[in-house]
Amino acid sequence: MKHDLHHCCCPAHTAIRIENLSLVLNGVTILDNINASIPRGVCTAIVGPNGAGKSTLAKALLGHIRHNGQVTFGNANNIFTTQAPRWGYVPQKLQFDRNMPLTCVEFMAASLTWRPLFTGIKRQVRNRCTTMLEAVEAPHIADRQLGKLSGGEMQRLLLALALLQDPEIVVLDEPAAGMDFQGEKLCCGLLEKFRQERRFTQIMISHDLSTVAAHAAHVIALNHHVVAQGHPAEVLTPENLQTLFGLHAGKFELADHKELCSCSNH
Amino acid sequence: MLESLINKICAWLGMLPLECMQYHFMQMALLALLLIAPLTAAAGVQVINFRMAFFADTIGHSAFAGAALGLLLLGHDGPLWSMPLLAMLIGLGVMWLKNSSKLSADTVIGIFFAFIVSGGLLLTSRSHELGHMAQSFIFGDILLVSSEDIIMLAILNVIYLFFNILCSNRMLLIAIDEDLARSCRIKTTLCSYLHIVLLALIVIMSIKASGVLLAGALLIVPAATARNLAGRAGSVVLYAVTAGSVAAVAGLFISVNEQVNTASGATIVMVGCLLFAVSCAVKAVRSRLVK
Repeated sequence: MKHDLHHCCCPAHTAIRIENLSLVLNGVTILDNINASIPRGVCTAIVGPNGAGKSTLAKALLGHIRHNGQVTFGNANNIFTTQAPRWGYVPQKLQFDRNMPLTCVEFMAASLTWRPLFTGIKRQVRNRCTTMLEAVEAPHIADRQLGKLSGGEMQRLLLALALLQDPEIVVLDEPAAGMDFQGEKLCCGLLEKFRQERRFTQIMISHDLSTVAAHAAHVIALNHHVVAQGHPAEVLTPENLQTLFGLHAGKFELADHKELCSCSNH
Repeated sequence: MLESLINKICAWLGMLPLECMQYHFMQMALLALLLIAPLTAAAGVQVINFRMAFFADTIGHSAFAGAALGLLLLGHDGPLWSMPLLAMLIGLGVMWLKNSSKLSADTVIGIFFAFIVSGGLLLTSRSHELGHMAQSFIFGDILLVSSEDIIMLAILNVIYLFFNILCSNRMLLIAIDEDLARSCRIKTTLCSYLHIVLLALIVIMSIKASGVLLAGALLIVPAATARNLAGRAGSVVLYAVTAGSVAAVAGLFISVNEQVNTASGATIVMVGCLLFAVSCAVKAVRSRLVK
């Protein structure tokens, strides 16, 4: 049996189910009664204009912000549970002290072990970090300080850190922000490769429609509420884009991922 | 038993080939500084990572209000308990207001600073006994350190060491990005509150050495020196502890020299600042060599 991943609601094949999620900050409604589901094992893009609540929705899913409504996670036992999965999170950018003397390997090792960095990094931990940096095609930054990385290198480091957590769901907040075309292409290509290898669910927040059209298999269009959700061809229509961005669709090509619901893989 | 252990350590310190070390108060002062300096320097590394330099001053200035409250409510021994207790409450208050409001950290700390200094001055103006104690609070007096102070410092060192072993990597990630740290399954709220409570206690204990005015200096100056010298996070703590300890010991001996005869706390901080200046020069030379 082959399901349509955009409409399959069974817990074994739905990574996240969002029900009646609302969020009000300082009297302003950021998210209004969101009902959506995110299919397992594919790339879902959350698109919308600036200030639409995309990043806030991601933080609500990650459990970083209190909200009304329910977020549940489907699991292999065919039930929805509130128990959070293992997350990988790639923030848009880090607001940190760029003069902090911290190397990339130390940064990654700090997430893997409680053993204080001032006692040294175990060879085994260091090897895990450097192997992951090689996987994201950035082995040269291992001993470089965090504050001295370019935008693209930083994104690849954050991706490596997210993958080190052995995530079930990876959330990327504007992964292409601050990157040139080559950097963006490399980053998205790497994500595609890792997702197919490791079978995690990818949630990508973006307002770059060409990136979304090229990489997402499922799209949620958001502007404080869900405008549309489903296959990119059904969501990224001129009418929806007019509603979302107040403009006509630019030229972008929709990639046909031919991805099916993860239950079809069995 | 603890008293005899302290006396034994003091006797060892008395074997140092310096005339001033024949005096028990100097042995006690050196022992206290050897406990305070590494502790404040290690804590300072986290303070700088979290950009909370002003927080240490706020906690330090809470000493006036804490001591006055203790004297008014609990009598002569009151300050021993009221000072750390108020410091912890202020620390928790700063953290709570920062998390629950949209105010920036420096604004929240500024509000608590104003509140605690005005409260301290109000209470001090009503307490004559505190007026007499004010000078030792302002300038610190490491030469008057007691066995109880040494025991409390030793306990605090052990607790902070455990905290560092368990949480220093977690705190590093929290300092970089709290959301990122959460996604790495770190209990950020618990770690942050524990950190702030310990920091408040460390600052209050350091007042004995540096005084209220320079409460933050023992934390910030060695950590800033270490940042200039270290190339990676693993070595920052080691550089900071070394710089803090060198400044403390050298400052103490310089201050009691007959020809110098200055306040110990201020002298220690001044030596620390000189070490910082040297570290700036080293950093400048290094970066020129790299170019």
